[in-house]
Amino acid sequence: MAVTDTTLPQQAAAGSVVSESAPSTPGELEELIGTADHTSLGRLYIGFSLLLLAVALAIRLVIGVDLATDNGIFGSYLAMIDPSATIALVFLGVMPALLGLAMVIVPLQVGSPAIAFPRAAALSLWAWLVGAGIFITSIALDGGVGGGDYDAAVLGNISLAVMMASLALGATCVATTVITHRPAGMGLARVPLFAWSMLVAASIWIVTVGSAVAHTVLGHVAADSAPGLAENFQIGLAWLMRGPAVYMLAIPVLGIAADAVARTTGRPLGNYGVFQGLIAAFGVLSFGAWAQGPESLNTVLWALWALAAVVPVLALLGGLAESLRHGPVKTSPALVGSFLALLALLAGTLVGVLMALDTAGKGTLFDFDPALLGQAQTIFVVTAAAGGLVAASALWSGQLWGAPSDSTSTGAAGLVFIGGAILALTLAVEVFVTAGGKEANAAIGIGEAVGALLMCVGILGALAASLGAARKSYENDVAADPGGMTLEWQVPWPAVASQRTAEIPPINSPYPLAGDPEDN
Amino acid sequence: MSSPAIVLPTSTAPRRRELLFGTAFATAGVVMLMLTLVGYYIGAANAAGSDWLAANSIPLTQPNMQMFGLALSVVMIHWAVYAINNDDRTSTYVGLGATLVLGAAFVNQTIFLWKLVGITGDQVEAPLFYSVTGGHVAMVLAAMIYIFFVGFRALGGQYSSRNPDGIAAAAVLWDAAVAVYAVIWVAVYIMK
Repeated sequence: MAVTDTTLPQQAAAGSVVSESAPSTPGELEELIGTADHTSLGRLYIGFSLLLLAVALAIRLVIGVDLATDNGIFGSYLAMIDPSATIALVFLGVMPALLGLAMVIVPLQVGSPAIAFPRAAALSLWAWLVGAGIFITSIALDGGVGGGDYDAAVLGNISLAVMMASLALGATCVATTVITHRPAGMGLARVPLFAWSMLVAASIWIVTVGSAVAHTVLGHVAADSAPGLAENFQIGLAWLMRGPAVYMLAIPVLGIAADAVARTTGRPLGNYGVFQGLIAAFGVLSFGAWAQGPESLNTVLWALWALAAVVPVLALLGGLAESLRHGPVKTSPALVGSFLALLALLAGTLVGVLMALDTAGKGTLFDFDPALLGQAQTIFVVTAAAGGLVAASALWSGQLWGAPSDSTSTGAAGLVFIGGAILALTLAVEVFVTAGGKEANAAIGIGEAVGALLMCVGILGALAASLGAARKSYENDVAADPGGMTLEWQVPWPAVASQRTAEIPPINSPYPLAGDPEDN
Repeated sequence: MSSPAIVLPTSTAPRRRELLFGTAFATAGVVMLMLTLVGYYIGAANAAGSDWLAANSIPLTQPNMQMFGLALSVVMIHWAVYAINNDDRTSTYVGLGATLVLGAAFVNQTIFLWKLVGITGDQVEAPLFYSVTGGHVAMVLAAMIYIFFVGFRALGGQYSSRNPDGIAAAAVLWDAAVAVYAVIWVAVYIMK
């Protein structure tokens, strides 16, 4: 018998003498912390980020209550905590959640047993989690990105840099997986649309976050006071929270919606290259590092850029709706959720159009407050990203959690969209009632609080639905559903890497498993 | 007595170009970081007008020599890439070694230049000047460490014409570091 045929536990069971120095088998927690399996890493990313997204929304809920009670809770701290809450929505919530989704699904879609640089992906997760914990702590200590305590603000600044660098590292792993882990025959023009959208998104995330990290460096080097750091954020990082840069959060939503349509209709999408082109075009229009200064909002280029961003979203919506027209469609939470996410994204881009029209009128056409409009735009895009994530979690529930989603996820998606719409519309309405007095502020505060509460409950519901599916899978052996057209539907549930050892045959079709037989 | 046959576990071959693309993506992020710093340096210098660095003098001799040295290092590292693609291991080591020497010379010249220019911490120019030049030195040092490691692995036989990715990936990072210096050379030292 070959010496490597028997493992240490087997030898122990057979009565063999095992040396005292032999390494002990790691426990479940040790395995989880030390894992480099892309499925486990992605699940952990999604779980922690949903939890932190709920925390960020809870902060926004308190801000709304504070506004409704005439600053009865935070007082003058409201202005300081507001930007931290928005940053938390993005870097503690939707961006890492979508990255976690990609870590699970993208390797499956390209037929790879692992993500590129698995240990770097693990480093990305744990470093982000540490950074997120420190950031939350710094907010609690009056720091964050606009706080009044200098030490806590420095802590917030550094933890923000850690989170951004970690997310860029994770994005590097995902993008490299799409580029280099494809099987023979699957050219870039044939990768599933979610994987394609993640390649585009990861590329944009890496360069945008790289540029944003520069400001945390400058803030750390140059600012010698808490107001200095807050000013550094307002001048140097506020561009991340408005168009076009904020659109980058929702690039994966386009891929999720396209794959949801293909899965639901059971038919390949026509004009595949056009869909890829639209996603790529939206990615390019999401690059906002060139428009960092507040003065850039007054340029013709920015106005044209904001107008152009609507086109790919509208075209993709139209293209997907056209695909649905060609035959019977079985409505699913994933399909409805992904379309609602696209509509939320469209609303975000339309807010950008309002800002562009105001720019074209040199501030005289509507005379909007660009900061308030920017906030409304951010919430629309965050709603799109969060709703898209919930839809994706329902679509790929088996691959992610080991069992199909139940009605909890449908309700959760509904709450996320309703809450997001209320929150964003309240912020948009605030633009028109700048001098409304206490009553108007109270109404706006109530609207913000209700919107944030509904979103928060929806996100917690999505987390509960995910845990429920994982528990169902643990307790019962749920059979995989092979009905999809792309490679991720051919793996056992849950998609644990050790069970995927089969070689992927050469691919001849963008839908290699259920496409035109002549293509295969 | 015959010894038992030892069956080794199946090794997993590295994916082709994985390291190359991974390095390229990470490098893109670092380049954006540096370009943003340079952009803000230019903006601050333009806003300050003639007051910018009025108390200091930046000589051009050292920056010019640094640019020349880095340009030469690009030739050296691509010589190493060419050599590993042709299984010429000796030339690979010489090319990588020469690149490291030129990189060390660059770092040395930068530190000398900092002392020569003498911008102190209380000056308004200091944060941006040292963020830009110090950030670039950090980038060059990171690239040198990368080159050292891939050179060490090349010595161990990991890279050859069948798998030249490590050397090519190091070249991508080095090229980016030199390109960023070209921007700094113009924006910080020549335009002042």
